[in-house]
Formats: sequence, structure tokens, C-alpha cells
Amino acid sequence: MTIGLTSQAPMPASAPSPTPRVAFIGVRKVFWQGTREIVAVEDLTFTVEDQKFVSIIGPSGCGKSTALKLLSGLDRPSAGRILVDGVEVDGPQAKVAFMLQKDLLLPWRTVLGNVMLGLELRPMSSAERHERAMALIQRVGLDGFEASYPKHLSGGMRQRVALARTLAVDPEILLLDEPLSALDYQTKLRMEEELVRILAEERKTVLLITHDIAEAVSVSDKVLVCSGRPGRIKAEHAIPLAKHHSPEAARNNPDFVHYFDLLWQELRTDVAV
Amino acid sequence: MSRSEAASVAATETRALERALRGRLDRCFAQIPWRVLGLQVGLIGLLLVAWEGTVRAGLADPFFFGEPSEMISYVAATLLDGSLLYHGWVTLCEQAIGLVLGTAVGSAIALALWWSGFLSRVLETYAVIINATPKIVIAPLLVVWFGLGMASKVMISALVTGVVAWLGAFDGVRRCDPDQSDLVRALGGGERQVFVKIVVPSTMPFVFATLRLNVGFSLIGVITGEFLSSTAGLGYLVDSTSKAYEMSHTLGAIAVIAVIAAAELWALSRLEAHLMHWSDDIAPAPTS
Repeated sequence: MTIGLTSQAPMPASAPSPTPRVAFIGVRKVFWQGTREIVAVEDLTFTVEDQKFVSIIGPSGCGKSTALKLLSGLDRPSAGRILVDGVEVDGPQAKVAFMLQKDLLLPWRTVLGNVMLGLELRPMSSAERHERAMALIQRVGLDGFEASYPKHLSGGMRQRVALARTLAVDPEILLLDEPLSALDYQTKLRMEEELVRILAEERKTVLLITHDIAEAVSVSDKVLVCSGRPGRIKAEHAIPLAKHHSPEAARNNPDFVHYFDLLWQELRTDVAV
Repeated sequence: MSRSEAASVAATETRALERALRGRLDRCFAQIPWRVLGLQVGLIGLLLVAWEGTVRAGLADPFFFGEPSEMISYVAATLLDGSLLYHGWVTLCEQAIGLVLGTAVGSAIALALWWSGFLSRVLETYAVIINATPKIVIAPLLVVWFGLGMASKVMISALVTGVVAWLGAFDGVRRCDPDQSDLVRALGGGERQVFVKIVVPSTMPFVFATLRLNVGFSLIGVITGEFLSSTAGLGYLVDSTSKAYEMSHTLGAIAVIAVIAAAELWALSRLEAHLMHWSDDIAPAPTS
């Protein structure tokens, strides 16, 4: 386990007593490439409060996805602590689920079968499973497609299935790793709108990883700016535009440009062209 | 070249061969327009007529080249008296039992090796070497061990197909998407669930690919076994009639072997279209 607790937990002074849902405290992750040590993230410290939509934005290779993998319990940090509801993460847990750019649909399963995947790993009757999956398929607007196989679905539809599968296990905390970045722009905007609405209605706590500044500004309550490798948080901005849980409304807000520019100025120094 | 590189080269070769075969198969068994089918039958008819004509005109000696008309009457006669059916049945049983056995055992070994990276690395070398060795050289040994009857031919067929199934299925196991496995783990599944829900189903298209190759390989194995020593089977028929210079009979038996191979490939393509329809690689199932 973690022996070297190198850094103190800098709890934000403004945060009132309730434990944040997610807390990274001085997290460091090192990979070995042969004999070469690669520091993916260094002294990564941030929190995600309950029912907030927090985005991490940064150049590619800044260890964003590493952070997510650590949080989902599939990998261990080299140093530092990761807490979910104040408890150290030591493996995958039921209240955390992730959704990636790759939809990871199983091609041999129908839409229904894919949505039921997580439910099959939990104790419940098959009727219950079926009912819950069907409700979610409807929720993401895919009713009528439950018997279709992934190869017959468009990119947007596939991500809807992935969303339904993620929501099916009723996680409290969602980790989204560029879930919409493979979609064409129009589909992406529409999916963004729906995703934010559904997640807000379900009162989820969300950690989104993205490289899309406009997306981060329009969906988030808070944006963390990540520096290039090794990744660390170099700035943190509260974004007050997402109050109505509509990315479109946020984009139309006159302040949108201000926040966009703020983030861009911080990121541009890290972007190698 | 390291062992794993050698293994992947072997697997790549198998896949390339398989792809070439598959492309042809799909075109063969997709819905064939009547015009194409008519031409295909017509071409064979034309060949037989030309052959018959050449022999009748005295341009070729029927003693060495046979005669299509005699071949057809031989096939018809032996079909009627049941002897051809008997020999065909023997060969079909030997081959099919061996094919199923070899595919099952070979795929099971490959899947089981998912559990142990160490063991799979140890055994991989053997698989590659066995694969590179013409497996048929072991046929005489198997005849000694399992006798002159069907058992030895079943074993030859199983051995030949088993190694191909093992390598092919193991390639599938290795290409299994680790992110899909992580998904099951993140959703709370253990390694057993990863195996059942991800590894096994994603290996199935590879198993079917090896089956397609193995239809041909197992027929080669069984017929070679029958050439070596046997008292029944189409290989026995080909061997004994050709030694007696009954060329039309030999040709008749060869034609039956071709029909069996074609029928099996057709059945397999239907089965695959039915079971593996979800796979991106499979051409859409013929509709009629």
C-alpha cells in the first residue's frame, strides 16, 4: 500500500465540512518502459464535490486517463492517496463507473445484452435485470433497438448504449474519459446536451476528462487545468455557466467566451504544435 | 526472432491463408445468381463432354485417363448397391469426429492457457514447432498405435486439426480487448466472469476461422491415413482402384471427396453466418 505520504492534504479552505465524493491527495503514478521511468502524474491533488460536474482539461499525454484508471480501482498509485467518500480506493467499487471514448460494446451481445452486462454481475432476478435495462434503453432514446447488434448502430447510438450500460448499475460517481470525442460535431453537441441533462436528473457526481475547451466550459461546475507530462493540476476554475444543466444555454451565455479564453490562455503554453 | 515473434508470424500466416480462403468462400456461398450458377454447371459439363470426346476420338487412352461416362455409371452403380455410400460414410465419420475432437481439444487448450501467461509461453514454442512440422509424418505411428481401423484415422484428423485450432484460438485469446476485460472488472466481475463473458465469446470467430481451414486439413489427414493402410473409406477406394488402373473409378471416388468437402464448407458457412452474424468480418448471411 501507500507508504510514502509525501504531501499533506491541502483541503480547500472554502470547502465546508462534508467529505468530497472524490479526493486525490498528492497522487503520483510511474510507469516503466524498459528501464526508463515515466512519470505519468505527479502530486495530483484535487477534489470533486457531491453532485458536481468536474472536468479535467489538458494536453494529450498529461496523465488524465491514468488518473481515471486509478480512480476506477483498476490500477494503484505509486504514491499518494485516492479517496472516494473518505475511503481509500483499493479496487473497483460499485458506486464508481466509467465511460470511455471507446464504447466497449460487446459485438456478440444485443443492445439489451450490453446494457445488462453490469447487472449480470449483481445479485438480482433476471426479470428485474430485464426491466431495469429496458427502462434505461428507453431513457437514452433507443427503444425499438434493444434487439439490434452493435455493428448495425451509428457512433452516437453506440455511445447511448454505453451510457445506458454505465447508468444501469446505478453508480453515484461517473468517470467520463472523452466519451463523445469520436463522434461527429453535430452528434456530439446533441449527445452532450442529453448526457448533461440525464446525469443532472439522476443527481450523479461526474468527473469528465476532455481536451475540448468548449465542452469543458459548457458542461462543468469546475474545470481543472492539467499541465503536460508529468500531469499535475496547475489551475482550478469554478464555472458558473452550467447552472441550468444545458450546454447549449451555457454556450449562449455572454460569459462563455471569457471562460473559454481563460482556459485557452492557460493551456496554450503547454500545446506543442 | 523471439519465440513470441515466431508464434505471431505463424499466426499471421495462418490468418492470411484463412483470409484468402474466406474471401473465396464468401463469394462461393453468397447468394449465387442463376446466370453464374448456370455457367458454373455448364463449364463442368463442357469439360466432361470435351474429355469424353477426346477419349472416344482415340486422342487419349481411357486406360490411363478414364472416361467420364464410365465414371458416372460407376458412381451411379456404387451408389445404388450402397458400397460408395459405405466408403463415403467411413471417411466422413473419421474426418468429422476427428475435426470436432481436434477443434474442441485445441480450442479448449488455448482458452485454458488464458489463465496462465507463464504456461502459455512455455507451450507456445511446442505449438509453433508442431505447426511447422508436416503433421502427416506422425500418421504411420498413429496407425501402429491405433490400428488399421477408423480409430487411427480419427486420431490423425484430430491431431492435424487440433494444432491449427490451438494456434488459431490462442491468437483469438491474445487479441481479446483488455479494455473490455477491464470493463467487466470495473463493473465488479472477477476473473471467471472476464473469462466467460469476454474471452470465450471473443475467441469464437477465431475458432470458426480454424474450422474452415481444418475441413481441408482433416480430409488430407484422413485420406492419407487411408492410403497408408485401410480396408474402407474413399482414400482406400482411390488407392485400390488407381493401383488396379481403374481410372474412371478413381475419378469417381475423387469426385465424391470433392462433393463432401464442398458440402461441409457450405454447411459451415451457413452455421457461421447463423452463429457469428454479429462479427464485423462475416459477410451478411445469404438470404435465400
